[in-house]
Amino acid sequence: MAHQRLGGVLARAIASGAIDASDEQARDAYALAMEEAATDLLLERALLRWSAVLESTAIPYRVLKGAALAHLVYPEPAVRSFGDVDLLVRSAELDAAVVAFTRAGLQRRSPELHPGFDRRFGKGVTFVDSDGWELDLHRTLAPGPFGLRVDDSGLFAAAPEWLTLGGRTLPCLAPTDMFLHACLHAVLGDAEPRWGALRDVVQLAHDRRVEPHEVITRARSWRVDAVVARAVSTAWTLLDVDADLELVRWAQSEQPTRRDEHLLAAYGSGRSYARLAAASLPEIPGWADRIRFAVWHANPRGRTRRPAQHIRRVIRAAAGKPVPR
Amino acid sequence: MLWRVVVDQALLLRADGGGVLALNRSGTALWQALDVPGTAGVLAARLCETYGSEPEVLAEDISLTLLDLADRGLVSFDDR
Repeated sequence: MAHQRLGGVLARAIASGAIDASDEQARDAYALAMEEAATDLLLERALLRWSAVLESTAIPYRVLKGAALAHLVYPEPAVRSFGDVDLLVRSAELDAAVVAFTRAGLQRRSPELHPGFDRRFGKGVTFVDSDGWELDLHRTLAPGPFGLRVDDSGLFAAAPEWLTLGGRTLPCLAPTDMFLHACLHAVLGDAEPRWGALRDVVQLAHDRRVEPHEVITRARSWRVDAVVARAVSTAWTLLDVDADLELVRWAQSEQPTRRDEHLLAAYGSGRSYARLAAASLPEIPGWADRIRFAVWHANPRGRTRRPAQHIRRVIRAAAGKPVPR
Repeated sequence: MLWRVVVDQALLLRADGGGVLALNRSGTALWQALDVPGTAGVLAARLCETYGSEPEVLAEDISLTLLDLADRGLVSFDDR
């Protein structure tokens, strides 16, 4: 439960009598919930600080996942814990945001593969502050090929939901986009879906602000309908949900194309950065950028003297073959 | 101010610094009653049914708790 950050919902379920627990189990659940809530508060304080960095440089942003869902989607924030802060900026403003956060004292977890890589092809940039709190700065909603399909400008065109926190109001995604993001995260975020991520899908699917036709239309226009359908079906199956919703009927009738099936497999067991990179290549619009993507992987920052060997590694990974170190 | 209620216990954190403060159950009830601000007497009147105490006795406890929270910068008093 600690790994899945479900202490808050467990404590609430025990307190309401929804599940039976011994006194010791109840004490443990309560202690875990308190620990998670304390972490959430400290992360929310970091969110206030980091969103102010973007506001001071006039970079538009949206708060994603954690705090946004806890306050805007769940009946009480304590039942939706989180482990980092997620902010979305437009691709065109990613570099400026990186500069702003670096000036604010945050450090990148890993260097950029090549100047310009993150804003063109990456999911975003992960930072850590001096206390160890993590900021995930996104420019799209998922890693790999499906992330490349998301229209990030559309995410800023929709009217935001507003999160009131610490006396400020912070913009978050529109409900439909929140739902699509929850689906992408549940299926593409980890090789095995996390319970918390699937629970977000279920919670949002029941939210009246999420309109099924709009979800389906947007998912198709982004060409992530296979991911959304997979997320809903998986959530309903693994969490044993029996609510009969229009979105569920749609999801269960969807058949992914062979191409999408192949891409989804790249995110599952045997997932690796190389495999996702290889699967991403055909999704990059334009040959110039495809060549850039391949060359930058083959020769990051001009360090390697053997780019051909690296290209072979990418091709092997694309074919699902083992890649020698 | 940032805060959470876990089942029946509130955690408070100032947005501008400091550590997390956990309130006990009665402190949490008071915190939730503060959702609609009021004098100690008004808050006592709201909470006296829950605690089965006389509003006057409760008002004294509430005043002390509010002063403690104010010292920590977690609530402020309005002079009106």
